[in-house]
Amino acid sequence: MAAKRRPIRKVLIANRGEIAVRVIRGCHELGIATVAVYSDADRRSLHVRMAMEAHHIGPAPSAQSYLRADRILEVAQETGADAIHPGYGFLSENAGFARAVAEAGLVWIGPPPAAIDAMGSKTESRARMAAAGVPVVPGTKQALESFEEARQVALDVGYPIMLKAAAGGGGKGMRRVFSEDELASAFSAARSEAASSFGDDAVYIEKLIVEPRHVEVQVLADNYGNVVHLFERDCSIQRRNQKVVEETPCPVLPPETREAMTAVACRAAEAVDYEGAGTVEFLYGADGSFYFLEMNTRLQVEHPITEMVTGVDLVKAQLRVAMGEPLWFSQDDLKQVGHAIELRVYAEDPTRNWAPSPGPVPGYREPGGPWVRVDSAMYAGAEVPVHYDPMVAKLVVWGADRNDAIERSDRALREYRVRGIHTTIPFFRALLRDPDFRSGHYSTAFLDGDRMERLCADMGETDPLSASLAALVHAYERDLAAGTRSPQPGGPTNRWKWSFR
Amino acid sequence: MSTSAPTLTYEVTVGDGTTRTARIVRTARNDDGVAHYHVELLAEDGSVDTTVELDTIRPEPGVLNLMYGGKSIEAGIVPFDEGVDVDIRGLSHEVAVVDPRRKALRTGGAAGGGSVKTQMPGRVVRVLVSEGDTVEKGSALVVVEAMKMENEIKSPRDGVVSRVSVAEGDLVEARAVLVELE
Repeated sequence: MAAKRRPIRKVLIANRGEIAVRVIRGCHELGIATVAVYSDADRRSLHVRMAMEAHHIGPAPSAQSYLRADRILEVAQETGADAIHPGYGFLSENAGFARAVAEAGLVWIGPPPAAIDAMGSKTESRARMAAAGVPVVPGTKQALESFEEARQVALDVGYPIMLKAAAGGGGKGMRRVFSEDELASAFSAARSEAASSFGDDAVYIEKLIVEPRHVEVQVLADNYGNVVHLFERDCSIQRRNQKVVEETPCPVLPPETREAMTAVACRAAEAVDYEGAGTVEFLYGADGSFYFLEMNTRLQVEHPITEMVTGVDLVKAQLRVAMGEPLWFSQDDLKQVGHAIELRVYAEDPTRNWAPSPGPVPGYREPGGPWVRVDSAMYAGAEVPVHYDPMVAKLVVWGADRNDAIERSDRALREYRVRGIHTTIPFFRALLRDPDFRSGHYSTAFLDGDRMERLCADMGETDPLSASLAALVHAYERDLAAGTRSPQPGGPTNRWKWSFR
Repeated sequence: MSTSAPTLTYEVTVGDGTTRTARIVRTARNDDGVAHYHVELLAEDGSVDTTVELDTIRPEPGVLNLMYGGKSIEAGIVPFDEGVDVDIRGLSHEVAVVDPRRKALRTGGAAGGGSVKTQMPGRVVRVLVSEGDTVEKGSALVVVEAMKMENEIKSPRDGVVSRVSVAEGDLVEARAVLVELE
């Protein structure tokens, strides 16, 4: 445990896009100088424009630039940076890089490498959490030898249960079983499906969490053993395991469950001697049970909604903890005030099966007004490169209560203009109108199947007449300016007549 | 201050909709950037079906604000080839605007007839067909990767591949032709 004060005067941000911009803002508020790094694709990126220094680190593909630990470390040393902030993604959960940073005598703005390692492996983290008294999804990871063994394990775990292929994934060899009389046929079906899909008929049993929600707890720890939580975020609205919308508080979490879940999250952080900001993810069942999923040992994409309801700047908190400052507030000082929602704006086209939509953004206008925040690296004239993640902005809105936050989000979406590329903005307006979203009763399956199609069809009416008129004006002025067109002979419209109208 | 300008004729198609003939003339342009247009949309028999008096400004790059019939419409404008992608309230409208005389010059009006295009720019990671292959509607032709995701470009109809225009590893722009079908 590094229990001494160490000033940070210059931070290298080993990331790009909106999160690099977010970190730069935190640094500048604390009077810390900033160094950006960028690839061939990002010379024009906003993080490069905002940072005080910027250094090129390689070609566009991440593997040759933002994942080049050696090159980034070199730049940090050349520029005299005394710390590295990894953002999220890229090198942020790479314990080897965290160690290399420390060995180079620099401060790693993140948890100790051992904590990253401990939480990095699903099986190890599960075992360590179980040992620390953190609830994990009950079941065996061992293959079941016989039906009799399956029957016994299912009885211990309690119905409903899920049979899963040991070698598998993607839903193959999986069966939900709600009572013992279904078990025999499900067991043989799962085994034969596992055998034909993966060449291995081994299956195991896990407790089935019915209509689970994804609820996570933000924790913050200093280097002196103090751990606090900053309440939960509900991230159940996902598309293909990608979070799309997050909100806090979780609209259906009873106070006593919140208390239990946040206490468990702090225990999880303590069990791995965590330092800095981290997130403990849980599956929260419709029956009120919750189970540890994993811990993200970094700043989370959706951290702004926590900032909105607690008033704590998590990036500045990371920096102050990294400088060796003991926590400057206690758990009792923290309150959840109001409600916050984050909508992730992806450069994807919901009308074309969410096809990626990178490219130049000639026009861009962010929404404004009270309690509306946009974290992005976009500007008019920016370009969304094809090489990186399609998430280009986060619209974060605070309201006095959930309904207020939803109404304000819809208003902000109306104002939000992104030109040149397609985004998920119109999709969100349909989502905010959905009665199940409005009621707060949804699970991680919310966007599966029918609803996705329904929402995509409900994004609003197209306006072919206005579109035709706009296109005509554009073509007309373009052709006139180019001098490529002259009036057509025989046209019934006399131009002089029009000019006197 | 008014400036007189010529009337031009275009053929306009929104998405997969029907093609209509339209006449447009700028009737006024003021020093403050406000421009007025008179637009006539023709019916199939050539008679004027709809007339619109348009009041427009260009408040910022890539944006046209239209007023007509008491409505105010913000339209995002992204030109491509002989068309414009128009964004209204976040919804995209792909509008082909073609000079009828130039169209007549083009061979067989091959406006995308046999060509399969990619909607997004990216990198070609796999080419799944070669010349002479018979393909069915919906079968995957080419896989294009963009933003860490692979996207299968599927055949819009049954046919025979007459030409493969890309190779694995190629970088392609939006609307680039990948494959030609017979």
